[in-house]
Order: sequence, then structure tokens, then C-alpha cells
Amino acid sequence: MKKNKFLLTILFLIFFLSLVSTKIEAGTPKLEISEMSWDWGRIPQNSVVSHSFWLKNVGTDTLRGMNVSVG
Amino acid sequence: MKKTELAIGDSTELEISYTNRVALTRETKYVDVSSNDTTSGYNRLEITADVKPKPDTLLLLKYSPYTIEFIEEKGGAIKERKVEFNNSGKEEYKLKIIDYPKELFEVKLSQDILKPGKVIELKVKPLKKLPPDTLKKSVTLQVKGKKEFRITIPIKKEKPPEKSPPPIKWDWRR
Repeated sequence: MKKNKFLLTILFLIFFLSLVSTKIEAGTPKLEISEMSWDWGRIPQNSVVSHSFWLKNVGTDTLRGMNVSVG
Repeated sequence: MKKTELAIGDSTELEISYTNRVALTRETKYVDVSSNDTTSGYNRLEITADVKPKPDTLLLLKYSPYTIEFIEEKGGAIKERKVEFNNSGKEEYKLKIIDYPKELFEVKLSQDILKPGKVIELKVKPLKKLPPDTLKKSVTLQVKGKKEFRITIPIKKEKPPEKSPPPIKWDWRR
């Protein structure tokens, strides 16, 4: 009975460790942004100016749910 | 933002537009980018602008026009636009183009050194037929004199007005 319990614990540990290692192998997404700030300098009032930032996934998994909000 | 999901190694453009009707000294805004990336934490972008009245009387480097405006020509003809920089001060300026929409325009300065009393031109030429919709872009220049500062000139193209349908003719004799 004691032997069975020990075997079950070992099996459970092996199962848990395999789950953890799968999670690590799956990788992590990593967002890299071309620059963190931009200064337009002097702009005329009542006009629209624009600038493009470049976002890149340099991680090892798909980057999902990207969203932009004005802080 | 053109994409909300990026595969490994993939990239996307995030275009930020800014406008202000009131002339201020300097304004800074923040844009937050969130995603499932838990490694880099908080991604906060900082954007800054000095909103100036038209004309910008405090600046000795005068330029005209304040906005580069493209109007759809007949037959889709593309004409370049020019901005004239006039140095009405006593110091020399060095100008450098640092940002513009490269996929749409070719932007060139006739000279990069502007001596007192002289004039130089900034030429903006569309590379291809501009998109039919409204266009709001800009070109930014770094100016080096005794002080270093930036000037951004908006590039604008309005959507042409839609042609109204011909009036309905009603034949009363029927």
C-alpha cells in the first residue's frame, strides 16, 4: 500500500514537471518599440501632425491582444 | 495600428496623430501600448509638441506656407510642393530633414545651410498617386543655430467633394 502511494507521488511529480517544461518551451512574446518618445517641436496651431512608431515581436511566442490608449 | 497580433519576428506600424487648436508653450501626451508581453512591463510612449500661433512671430527663421497642401489635379497629375525658409535673423541655421512619410513622398532641401538674409526651399514630391481619401502626414526638420529646435510642417490632402448625381428629369407629358 505504501509502495503504491510512493509510486503515485512519483507519477504525479513527473506529470507536473512535464507540464512546466512544456510551458517554458512554448516561449514568451516580447514587444520591442522603435523609440519611446517623439518630439515634433514647433507646430502651427490648428493643424494635424503625425509620426510612426514601429512595433516588433522579438520574443519566442505570438504577441497578442495589442491595444493602444491615450494615457 | 494595422495589426493587433504579431507572429515571432513580425512588425507593425503605429501611427500617432496630434492636433491642438490652442497655441501653448509645450504639451506632452502619453500613449500606452498593452499586449500579452509580460516581460517588458509597461510600454508608455511620450509625444511632445510646441503649438505656435500663425504666424510664429518669435521665430526668426520664417517659413511659408505653414501647411503643405495637395489638391487632386485633373487626370491624376502629381505636382510637387515647396516651402520657402527665409532667415530674417543674424545667425546661421543648419537644417536637416529627420522625419517624413517615406512610402509616399520624396522630401529634399535645396541647401542645408541657411545664411542670414538668404532663402532655401524644401521640396515635397509624391512618389506615386496619393490615396483617394483624406491624408494627414507631416515632415519634421531639425534646426541647429545658437539653439537647437525642431519644426514640423503638416502635409494635408482633403478628399475631393463627391460629384452630385445629375438632376432627375421628369417628363410631365407621360
